Amino acid sequence: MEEFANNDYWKDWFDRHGPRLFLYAKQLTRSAADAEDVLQEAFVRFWKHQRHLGGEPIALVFASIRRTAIDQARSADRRARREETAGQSIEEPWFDRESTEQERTAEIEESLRQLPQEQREILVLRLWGELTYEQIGDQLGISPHTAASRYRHGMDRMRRTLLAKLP
Amino acid sequence: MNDELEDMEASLRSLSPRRPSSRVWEAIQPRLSEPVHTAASGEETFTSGPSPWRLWFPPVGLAAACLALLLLWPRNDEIQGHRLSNDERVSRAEATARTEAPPRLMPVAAEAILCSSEDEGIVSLSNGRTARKLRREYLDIYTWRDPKTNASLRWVMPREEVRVIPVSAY
Repeated sequence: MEEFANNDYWKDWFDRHGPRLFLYAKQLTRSAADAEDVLQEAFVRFWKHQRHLGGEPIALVFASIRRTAIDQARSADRRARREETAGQSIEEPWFDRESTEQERTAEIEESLRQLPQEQREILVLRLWGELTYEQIGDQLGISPHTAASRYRHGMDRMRRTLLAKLP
Repeated sequence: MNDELEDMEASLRSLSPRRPSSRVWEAIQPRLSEPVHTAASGEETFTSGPSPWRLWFPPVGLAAACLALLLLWPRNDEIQGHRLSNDERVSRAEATARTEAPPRLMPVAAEAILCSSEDEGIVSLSNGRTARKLRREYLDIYTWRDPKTNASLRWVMPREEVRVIPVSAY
Protein backbone atom coordinates (compact mmCIF):
# COMPACT_ATOMS: atom_id res chain seq x y z
CA MET A 1 0.00 0.00 0.00
CA GLU A 2 3.01 2.31 0.18
CA GLU A 3 2.60 3.12 -3.49
CA PHE A 4 -0.93 4.27 -2.79
CA ALA A 5 0.46 7.23 -0.86
CA ASN A 6 1.69 8.58 -4.18
CA ASN A 7 -0.81 10.95 -5.81
CA ASP A 8 0.17 9.75 -9.27
CA TYR A 9 -0.74 6.23 -8.24
CA TRP A 10 -4.26 7.19 -7.25
CA LYS A 11 -4.79 8.82 -10.67
CA ASP A 12 -4.06 5.53 -12.36
CA TRP A 13 -6.03 3.62 -9.76
CA PHE A 14 -9.08 5.88 -10.13
CA ASP A 15 -8.85 5.72 -13.89
CA ARG A 16 -8.97 1.94 -13.74
CA HIS A 17 -11.69 1.57 -11.12
CA GLY A 18 -13.69 4.77 -11.60
CA PRO A 19 -16.32 3.26 -13.93
CA ARG A 20 -17.26 0.42 -11.57
CA LEU A 21 -17.26 2.77 -8.57
CA PHE A 22 -19.46 5.21 -10.51
CA LEU A 23 -21.86 2.41 -11.44
CA TYR A 24 -22.17 1.40 -7.80
CA ALA A 25 -22.82 4.99 -6.78
CA LYS A 26 -25.43 5.46 -9.51
CA GLN A 27 -27.49 2.49 -8.42
CA LEU A 28 -27.55 3.94 -4.90
CA THR A 29 -28.55 7.48 -5.88
CA ARG A 30 -31.23 9.29 -7.86
CA SER A 31 -29.13 10.81 -10.62
CA ALA A 32 -25.71 10.77 -12.23
CA ALA A 33 -24.97 14.16 -10.67
CA ASP A 34 -25.74 12.84 -7.18
CA ALA A 35 -23.65 9.77 -7.93
CA GLU A 36 -20.68 11.91 -8.90
CA ASP A 37 -20.98 13.91 -5.69
CA VAL A 38 -21.15 10.70 -3.67
CA LEU A 39 -18.18 9.25 -5.53
CA GLN A 40 -16.11 12.36 -4.94
CA GLU A 41 -16.94 12.55 -1.24
CA ALA A 42 -16.51 8.82 -0.67
CA PHE A 43 -13.13 8.69 -2.33
CA VAL A 44 -11.86 11.68 -0.38
CA ARG A 45 -13.09 10.11 2.87
CA PHE A 46 -11.30 6.88 2.04
CA TRP A 47 -8.14 8.74 1.05
CA LYS A 48 -8.00 10.87 4.21
CA HIS A 49 -9.06 8.34 6.81
CA GLN A 50 -8.85 4.76 5.51
CA ARG A 51 -6.12 4.30 2.94
CA HIS A 52 -3.54 3.56 5.65
CA LEU A 53 -5.49 0.49 6.80
CA GLY A 54 -4.04 -1.83 4.20
CA GLY A 55 -5.97 -4.60 2.49
CA GLU A 56 -7.81 -4.31 -0.77
CA PRO A 57 -8.64 -0.62 -1.46
CA ILE A 58 -11.54 -1.31 -3.84
CA ALA A 59 -13.60 -3.03 -1.15
CA LEU A 60 -13.04 -0.16 1.28
CA VAL A 61 -13.96 2.43 -1.34
CA PHE A 62 -17.18 0.56 -2.16
CA ALA A 63 -18.02 0.60 1.54
CA SER A 64 -17.24 4.32 1.70
CA ILE A 65 -19.54 4.96 -1.28
CA ARG A 66 -22.38 3.09 0.38
CA ARG A 67 -22.04 4.99 3.61
CA THR A 68 -21.66 8.32 1.83
CA ALA A 69 -24.77 7.69 -0.27
CA ILE A 70 -26.77 7.02 2.89
CA ASP A 71 -25.41 10.15 4.58
CA GLN A 72 -25.96 12.34 1.55
CA ALA A 73 -29.57 11.23 1.24
CA ARG A 74 -30.17 12.35 4.83
CA SER A 75 -28.09 15.49 5.11
CA ALA A 76 -29.77 18.86 5.09
CA ASP A 77 -27.47 20.43 2.55
CA ARG A 78 -28.67 17.94 -0.08
CA ARG A 79 -32.33 18.62 0.52
CA ALA A 80 -32.33 22.04 -1.11
CA ARG A 81 -30.54 20.72 -4.18
CA ARG A 82 -33.04 17.89 -4.57
CA GLU A 83 -35.86 20.40 -4.40
CA GLU A 84 -34.21 22.45 -7.12
CA THR A 85 -33.77 19.51 -9.42
CA ALA A 86 -37.11 17.83 -8.74
CA GLY A 87 -38.74 16.98 -12.01
CA GLN A 88 -35.53 17.64 -13.89
CA SER A 89 -33.93 14.22 -13.48
CA ILE A 90 -33.13 12.49 -16.72
CA GLU A 91 -32.04 8.90 -16.51
CA GLU A 92 -28.54 8.70 -17.87
CA PRO A 93 -27.21 5.39 -19.15
CA TRP A 94 -25.25 3.28 -16.74
CA PHE A 95 -23.27 1.47 -19.45
CA ASP A 96 -21.51 2.41 -22.66
CA ARG A 97 -23.74 1.61 -25.58
CA GLU A 98 -22.14 0.19 -28.67
CA SER A 99 -24.01 1.25 -31.79
CA THR A 100 -24.82 -2.35 -32.72
CA GLU A 101 -26.05 -3.35 -29.25
CA GLN A 102 -27.89 -0.28 -28.06
CA GLU A 103 -31.31 -1.86 -27.71
CA ARG A 104 -29.99 -4.96 -25.98
CA THR A 105 -27.87 -2.91 -23.56
CA ALA A 106 -30.80 -0.63 -22.80
CA GLU A 107 -33.05 -3.62 -21.99
CA ILE A 108 -30.43 -5.19 -19.76
CA GLU A 109 -29.89 -1.90 -17.98
CA GLU A 110 -33.60 -1.41 -17.47
CA SER A 111 -34.04 -4.88 -16.01
CA LEU A 112 -31.12 -4.20 -13.66
CA ARG A 113 -32.67 -0.89 -12.54
CA GLN A 114 -35.96 -2.65 -11.80
CA LEU A 115 -34.44 -5.18 -9.44
CA PRO A 116 -35.05 -4.74 -5.71
CA GLN A 117 -32.29 -2.65 -4.18
CA GLU A 118 -30.88 -5.51 -2.09
CA GLN A 119 -30.48 -7.72 -5.16
CA ARG A 120 -29.26 -5.02 -7.53
CA GLU A 121 -26.56 -3.86 -5.13
CA ILE A 122 -25.17 -7.38 -4.79
CA LEU A 123 -25.22 -7.99 -8.54
CA VAL A 124 -23.27 -4.80 -9.14
CA LEU A 125 -20.71 -5.61 -6.45
CA ARG A 126 -20.31 -9.17 -7.70
CA LEU A 127 -20.35 -8.74 -11.47
CA TRP A 128 -18.58 -5.41 -11.94
CA GLY A 129 -17.06 -4.84 -8.50
CA GLU A 130 -15.63 -8.40 -8.59
CA LEU A 131 -16.02 -8.77 -4.84
CA THR A 132 -16.34 -12.19 -3.23
CA TYR A 133 -19.50 -13.15 -1.36
CA GLU A 134 -17.52 -12.86 1.86
CA GLN A 135 -16.46 -9.29 1.03
CA ILE A 136 -20.03 -8.43 0.03
CA GLY A 137 -21.32 -9.92 3.26
CA ASP A 138 -18.84 -7.90 5.33
CA GLN A 139 -19.86 -4.72 3.57
CA LEU A 140 -23.62 -5.20 3.80
CA GLY A 141 -23.68 -6.87 7.22
CA ILE A 142 -25.07 -10.16 5.91
CA SER A 143 -23.68 -13.68 5.68
CA PRO A 144 -21.91 -14.82 2.51
CA HIS A 145 -24.67 -17.39 2.10
CA THR A 146 -27.33 -14.69 2.13
CA ALA A 147 -25.32 -12.64 -0.35
CA ALA A 148 -25.06 -15.63 -2.69
CA SER A 149 -28.76 -16.36 -2.34
CA ARG A 150 -29.78 -12.79 -3.16
CA TYR A 151 -27.40 -12.85 -6.12
CA ARG A 152 -29.01 -15.98 -7.54
CA HIS A 153 -32.50 -14.59 -7.02
CA GLY A 154 -31.51 -11.34 -8.72
CA MET A 155 -29.95 -13.12 -11.68
CA ASP A 156 -32.96 -15.37 -12.05
CA ARG A 157 -35.29 -12.39 -11.97
CA MET A 158 -33.25 -10.60 -14.64
CA ARG A 159 -33.11 -13.69 -16.80
CA ARG A 160 -36.91 -14.06 -16.77
CA THR A 161 -37.41 -10.36 -17.51
CA LEU A 162 -34.99 -10.42 -20.42
CA LEU A 163 -36.36 -13.62 -21.88
CA ALA A 164 -39.75 -11.93 -22.13
CA LYS A 165 -38.27 -8.85 -23.84
CA LEU A 166 -35.41 -10.00 -26.00
CA PRO A 167 -35.36 -12.72 -28.67
CA MET B 1 -29.46 -23.93 -15.38
CA ASN B 2 -25.83 -23.37 -14.43
CA ASP B 3 -24.90 -22.90 -18.08
CA GLU B 4 -27.66 -20.32 -18.45
CA LEU B 5 -26.41 -18.52 -15.34
CA GLU B 6 -22.83 -18.51 -16.60
CA ASP B 7 -23.92 -17.29 -20.02
CA MET B 8 -25.91 -14.50 -18.44
CA GLU B 9 -23.02 -13.56 -16.16
CA ALA B 10 -20.69 -13.39 -19.16
CA SER B 11 -23.20 -11.27 -21.02
CA LEU B 12 -23.57 -8.82 -18.14
CA ARG B 13 -19.82 -8.60 -17.50
CA SER B 14 -19.30 -7.68 -21.15
CA LEU B 15 -21.11 -4.39 -20.50
CA SER B 16 -18.78 -1.51 -19.72
CA PRO B 17 -19.87 0.86 -16.95
CA ARG B 18 -19.68 4.49 -18.01
CA ARG B 19 -16.89 6.63 -16.69
CA PRO B 20 -17.61 9.52 -14.36
CA SER B 21 -17.17 12.96 -15.87
CA SER B 22 -13.88 14.78 -15.65
CA ARG B 23 -15.35 17.14 -13.02
CA VAL B 24 -15.11 14.34 -10.44
CA TRP B 25 -11.34 14.09 -10.82
CA GLU B 26 -11.04 17.87 -10.93
CA ALA B 27 -12.94 18.14 -7.64
CA ILE B 28 -11.06 15.33 -5.90
CA GLN B 29 -7.52 16.32 -6.79
CA PRO B 30 -7.19 19.59 -4.81
CA ARG B 31 -8.73 17.97 -1.73
CA LEU B 32 -6.12 15.23 -1.72
CA SER B 33 -3.02 17.27 -2.38
CA GLU B 34 -3.60 19.95 0.24
CA PRO B 35 -3.15 19.64 4.01
CA VAL B 36 -6.39 19.28 5.89
CA HIS B 37 -6.14 22.64 7.72
CA THR B 38 -5.39 24.91 4.75
CA ALA B 39 -7.86 26.47 2.33
CA ALA B 40 -8.72 24.64 -0.87
CA SER B 41 -9.83 26.36 -4.03
CA GLY B 42 -13.45 25.46 -3.58
CA GLU B 43 -13.90 25.02 0.14
CA GLU B 44 -12.00 24.81 3.39
CA THR B 45 -12.13 21.67 5.46
CA PHE B 46 -10.53 21.63 8.86
CA THR B 47 -10.88 19.69 12.03
CA SER B 48 -11.92 21.75 15.00
CA GLY B 49 -10.38 21.53 18.43
CA PRO B 50 -11.31 18.43 20.39
CA SER B 51 -14.86 18.43 21.58
CA PRO B 52 -15.57 16.94 25.02
CA TRP B 53 -16.58 13.55 23.69
CA ARG B 54 -13.26 13.20 21.86
CA LEU B 55 -11.23 13.86 24.99
CA TRP B 56 -12.50 10.87 26.92
CA PHE B 57 -13.55 8.50 24.15
CA PRO B 58 -10.11 7.42 22.84
CA PRO B 59 -8.82 5.84 26.06
CA VAL B 60 -12.19 4.26 26.77
CA GLY B 61 -12.42 3.09 23.17
CA LEU B 62 -8.94 1.58 23.35
CA ALA B 63 -9.80 -0.26 26.55
CA ALA B 64 -13.04 -1.52 25.01
CA ALA B 65 -11.23 -2.66 21.88
CA CYS B 66 -8.67 -4.62 23.93
CA LEU B 67 -11.44 -6.21 25.99
CA ALA B 68 -13.35 -7.12 22.82
CA LEU B 69 -10.23 -8.73 21.37
CA LEU B 70 -9.68 -10.80 24.49
CA LEU B 71 -13.30 -11.93 24.63
CA LEU B 72 -13.44 -12.82 20.96
CA TRP B 73 -10.14 -14.72 20.94
CA PRO B 74 -11.01 -18.42 20.55
CA ARG B 75 -9.82 -20.54 23.44
CA ASN B 76 -8.62 -24.02 22.57
CA ASP B 77 -9.74 -25.64 25.80
CA GLU B 78 -13.27 -24.35 25.42
CA ILE B 79 -13.45 -25.46 21.79
CA GLN B 80 -12.36 -28.91 22.88
CA GLY B 81 -15.46 -29.07 25.08
CA HIS B 82 -13.75 -30.29 28.22
CA ARG B 83 -11.78 -28.74 31.01
CA LEU B 84 -8.04 -29.29 30.95
CA SER B 85 -5.79 -29.77 33.91
CA ASN B 86 -3.23 -27.08 34.61
CA ASP B 87 -0.42 -29.25 33.26
CA GLU B 88 -2.37 -30.00 30.10
CA ARG B 89 -3.17 -26.35 29.64
CA VAL B 90 0.46 -25.25 30.02
CA SER B 91 1.79 -27.92 27.68
CA ARG B 92 -0.93 -27.16 25.13
CA ALA B 93 -0.11 -23.43 25.29
CA GLU B 94 3.58 -24.12 24.79
CA ALA B 95 2.89 -26.38 21.83
CA THR B 96 0.55 -23.83 20.37
CA ALA B 97 3.08 -21.04 20.73
CA ARG B 98 5.64 -23.12 18.89
CA THR B 99 3.43 -24.19 16.01
CA GLU B 100 0.85 -21.46 15.38
CA ALA B 101 1.70 -18.35 13.47
CA PRO B 102 0.71 -15.07 15.09
CA PRO B 103 -2.82 -13.91 14.20
CA ARG B 104 -3.18 -11.85 11.06
CA LEU B 105 -5.96 -9.39 11.44
CA MET B 106 -6.99 -8.13 8.02
CA PRO B 107 -9.18 -5.06 7.48
CA VAL B 108 -12.60 -6.15 6.27
CA ALA B 109 -14.73 -3.06 6.73
CA ALA B 110 -14.35 0.63 7.23
CA GLU B 111 -17.11 3.17 7.37
CA ALA B 112 -17.80 6.68 8.53
CA ILE B 113 -21.28 7.13 9.99
CA LEU B 114 -22.63 10.62 9.89
CA CYS B 115 -24.14 11.20 13.34
CA SER B 116 -25.12 14.82 13.04
CA SER B 117 -24.97 17.65 10.56
CA GLU B 118 -25.49 21.22 11.61
CA ASP B 119 -25.62 24.34 9.47
CA GLU B 120 -24.00 27.03 11.61
CA GLY B 121 -24.93 29.79 9.22
CA ILE B 122 -22.99 32.41 7.30
CA VAL B 123 -19.51 33.45 8.42
CA SER B 124 -16.99 35.97 7.12
CA LEU B 125 -13.63 34.71 5.96
CA SER B 126 -10.33 36.52 6.45
CA ASN B 127 -10.23 37.33 2.73
CA GLY B 128 -13.52 39.19 2.92
CA ARG B 129 -15.61 36.46 1.31
CA THR B 130 -18.69 35.02 2.94
CA ALA B 131 -19.12 31.36 3.50
CA ARG B 132 -21.49 28.82 5.00
CA LYS B 133 -20.18 26.87 7.97
CA LEU B 134 -21.25 23.22 8.31
CA ARG B 135 -20.34 21.09 11.33
CA ARG B 136 -20.55 17.33 11.05
CA GLU B 137 -19.87 14.60 13.59
CA TYR B 138 -18.88 11.14 12.40
CA LEU B 139 -18.17 7.78 13.92
CA ASP B 140 -15.33 6.05 12.06
CA ILE B 141 -15.72 2.30 12.45
CA TYR B 142 -12.97 -0.09 11.39
CA THR B 143 -13.23 -3.88 11.52
CA TRP B 144 -10.36 -6.33 11.25
CA ARG B 145 -10.77 -10.11 11.09
CA ASP B 146 -8.45 -13.09 11.22
CA PRO B 147 -9.73 -15.43 8.49
CA LYS B 148 -8.28 -18.47 10.22
CA THR B 149 -9.79 -18.04 13.65
CA ASN B 150 -12.60 -15.59 12.86
CA ALA B 151 -11.36 -13.41 15.73
CA SER B 152 -12.31 -9.85 15.02
CA LEU B 153 -11.51 -6.39 16.29
CA ARG B 154 -13.80 -3.41 15.90
CA TRP B 155 -12.50 0.10 16.43
CA VAL B 156 -14.89 3.01 16.82
CA MET B 157 -13.51 6.54 16.80
CA PRO B 158 -15.51 9.78 16.82
CA ARG B 159 -14.48 12.53 14.44
CA GLU B 160 -15.67 16.06 14.02
CA GLU B 161 -15.39 17.91 10.73
CA VAL B 162 -16.12 21.55 10.02
CA ARG B 163 -16.56 22.72 6.45
CA VAL B 164 -16.50 26.33 5.35
CA ILE B 165 -18.00 26.60 1.86
CA PRO B 166 -17.68 29.95 0.06
CA VAL B 167 -21.00 31.25 -1.17
CA SER B 168 -21.74 33.82 -3.82
CA ALA B 169 -23.49 37.02 -2.83
CA TYR B 170 -26.69 37.81 -4.70
